Amino acid sequence: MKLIIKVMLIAGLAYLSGLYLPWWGMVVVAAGVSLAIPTSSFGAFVSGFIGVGLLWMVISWKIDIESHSILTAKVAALFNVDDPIYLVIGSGFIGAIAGGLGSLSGNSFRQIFIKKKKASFYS
Amino acid sequence: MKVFKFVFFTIITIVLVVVLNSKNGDIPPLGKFLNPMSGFWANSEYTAIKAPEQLTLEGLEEPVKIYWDKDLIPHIFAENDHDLYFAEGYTIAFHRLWQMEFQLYKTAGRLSEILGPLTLSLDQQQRRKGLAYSANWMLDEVKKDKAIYEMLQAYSDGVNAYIATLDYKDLPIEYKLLDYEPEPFSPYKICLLLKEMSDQLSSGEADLENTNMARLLGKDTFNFLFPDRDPGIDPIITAGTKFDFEPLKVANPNDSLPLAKIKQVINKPDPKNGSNSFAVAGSKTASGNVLLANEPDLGLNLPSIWYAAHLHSPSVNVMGAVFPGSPGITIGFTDSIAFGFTNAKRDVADWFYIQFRNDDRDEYLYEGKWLKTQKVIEEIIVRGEDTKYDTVIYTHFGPVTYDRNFKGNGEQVNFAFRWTAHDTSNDFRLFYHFNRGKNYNDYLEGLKYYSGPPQNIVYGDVHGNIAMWVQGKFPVKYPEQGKFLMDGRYSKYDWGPFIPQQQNIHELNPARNFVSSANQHPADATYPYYVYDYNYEHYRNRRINDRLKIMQGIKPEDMMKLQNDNYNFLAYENLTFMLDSLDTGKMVASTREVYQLLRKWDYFNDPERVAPIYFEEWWDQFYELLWDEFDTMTVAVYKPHNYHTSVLMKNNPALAFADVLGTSRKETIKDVLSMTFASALDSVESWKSNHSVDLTWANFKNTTIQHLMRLEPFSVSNVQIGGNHGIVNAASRRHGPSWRMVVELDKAGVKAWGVYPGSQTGNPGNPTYADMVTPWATGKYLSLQFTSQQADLAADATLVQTLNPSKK
Repeated sequence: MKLIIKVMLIAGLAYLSGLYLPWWGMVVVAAGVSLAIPTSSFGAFVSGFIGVGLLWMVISWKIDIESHSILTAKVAALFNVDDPIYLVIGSGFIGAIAGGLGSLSGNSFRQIFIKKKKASFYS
Repeated sequence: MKVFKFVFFTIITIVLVVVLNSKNGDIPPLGKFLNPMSGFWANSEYTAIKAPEQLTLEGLEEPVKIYWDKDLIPHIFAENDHDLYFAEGYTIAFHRLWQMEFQLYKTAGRLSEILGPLTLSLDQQQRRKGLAYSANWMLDEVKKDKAIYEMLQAYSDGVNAYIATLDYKDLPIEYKLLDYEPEPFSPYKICLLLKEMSDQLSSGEADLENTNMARLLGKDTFNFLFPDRDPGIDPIITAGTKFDFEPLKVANPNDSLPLAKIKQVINKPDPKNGSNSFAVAGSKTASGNVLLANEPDLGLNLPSIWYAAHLHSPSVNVMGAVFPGSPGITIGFTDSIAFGFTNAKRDVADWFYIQFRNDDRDEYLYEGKWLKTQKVIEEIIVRGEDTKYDTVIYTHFGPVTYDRNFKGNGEQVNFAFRWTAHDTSNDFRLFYHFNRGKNYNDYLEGLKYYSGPPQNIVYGDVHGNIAMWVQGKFPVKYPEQGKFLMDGRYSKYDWGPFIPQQQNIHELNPARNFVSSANQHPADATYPYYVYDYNYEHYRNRRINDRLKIMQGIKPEDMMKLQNDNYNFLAYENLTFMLDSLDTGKMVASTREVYQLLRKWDYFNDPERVAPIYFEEWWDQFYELLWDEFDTMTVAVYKPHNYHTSVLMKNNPALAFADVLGTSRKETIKDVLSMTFASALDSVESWKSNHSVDLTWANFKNTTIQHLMRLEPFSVSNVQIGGNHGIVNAASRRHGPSWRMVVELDKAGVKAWGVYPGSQTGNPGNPTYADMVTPWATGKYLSLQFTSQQADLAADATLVQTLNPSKK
């Protein structure tokens, strides 16, 4: 449950940051959320990965559909792929990795200040 | 351990962000570029135009209304001229900002700042032509003319007002791909754009190539292959026109040629560029109104070199097409006059041999004295590398383009460039007057200020007048002056006075009731000044004049039909001769089929036809094989033009050049024709096996409108259009009619039609991107909505925009 909240929080805040900040604003956002809401390192990475990745994928997919791929098909050709869906996936993946790592970094910062922590398989 | 983990993850994250934030070779910064909220995704547009209806802009004096019509042509209504040009700059930047800037990086020799070392040699060449340098002189001149300078400043302020509204997400996609940002626009940049036009239109000369060939072949053979005039030419103004003025005289030194040779020359504009313009008097038209047509044939690019607009203020009411980055309207019409341009080819760029005193190059020899040079250190910023420096030396002629650091055979050759485009001028005045034109006197007033690039300027008005002036600043030359390299050590070769403007070639309401120009010789040989260009047109002009002579009761549709005419005059004049020289006895069936196809052909290069493929391929191969001697020359040369080639082909069966170098026997013209007929057929066969599309002229020619970054997905290839260079519809593979316009000069209301191969928007993500390419290819025109009735414009508008001044 906490993970789902975290994913949604990261996605929502990453969206807001995307409106006003450079693209890497979402990395800071993901780090901030993980700083505030404790999870395992794995949980932190996954929440950033899914939160930002899904956000980027959904928005780009929506743009691709609504614009009838007018631009996305051309840019896909520039990247030597034959379907804009690969751009949607690619954008989602780049957002996911950066979001995941940001979240992980935030989480690891928080962990420095935790004296005792339940052992976890992934820590 | 925990600290270590934190540091480790944080470093990885930062490294990733930095990598995704930077450009790597051709790959844009992926994080920035793929971010769906501000990356390229944000350049997708769902509707033809998306802009706020109300906008507040600092710098405006009064509110401005912009009616965007169904073709997205803005009709700009302002209360004063300042606001008009401000809004024009804003509007064009809205659609074309990236192109406006990028083209000037090329002119100024600054492309390497954006593109890296790839364009370094091109940049160096541009600096050595002195374009950016002379734009500064022009700006100084323009600053003295208050009205003009204010126009340039208001336009620039408008562009900058648009730039100020942009965030990263709003930048045109090209900025995101190349990862850079717009810089402020300025009157200097507008001057630079005029220099760009000179570079494209008046820098075409062949002085050094002529010098090489005169030395290699001997002057007699050179004259035989490259005569100044052939018989049968059809000049711009009616042959036989009397020139009743006293011409200025210059002394002819009657000397031999200088001895220098040069291997490589700087890039020149494509000699196949060309344009058509014609106007017919009311006595030849159905309505009794003057009709005027113009189409400048230039490189076919996206975003297009033209932008269509309508400008309206208390002192201006003008519509037409304009170069993005230049204020006013370049080719268009007011409620009383219409004006258009074709390039007036004339050698206004000459080369002088320079002798420096020593390696310091501080002084050069002129009339026995050592004159001081001026050194300009050009700083070329190269993305991702150290800044490069190049010293360009200026003499009283102009920049020493060729020297030990640039194409100067690596050693002693120093050539300086004397070009009218380096002189100061205030050419903007021409457009300023034309855009406010009411009658022939306004046209004449505008002409006075125009120095270059030289143009054949067509004119028509609602009062029934038609005119053509060959306008530019032309040096008075003795015969062959500047046709070859000249010796810069002596003043006798230097340019003298310029031809008085009133003595420039022109005609007003000629007896034949039409005026026309298509880059041919400007006048017959009785014009009392020496006129030379290495590359005059011989085909489009004759086709247009032949048609106009017989056409009567002309309607605007007839003007359009003539602009789109695909008649191949070269084929009409030569194909029968070429076919007659083939030996039909030995032909196999497939060859005979092609032979019969050509025999039956009516000489139209229509897009769906097959015959023009065989003819064009055959002619090109014949031309190449005939002049194969030129390919073996190790210095810079060029080949005789098509018309003279055809004259030689028909009159000199045993021409020495017909001998093919790679064979042991001695060929004649007939042999070359039959060899190349066979090889042309082979080429077409191999084309067929390499292509899945039908064998048609349009597919074979493959006219392509190429994006300025040469990105294939942003370009439109295989446009289904006929014609070719040398044909009125001059659409060749990469060049063609860049703006077709027809105007009916009706007193009751001027009507006009226009089209260009592109779109108002420059955004490849807009649904209307390149949407005029198909109408253009098929000879259709947009009806231009030229009215002062704002209610009518509002009724049909896609969007009505109000630009409001910010409150003081």
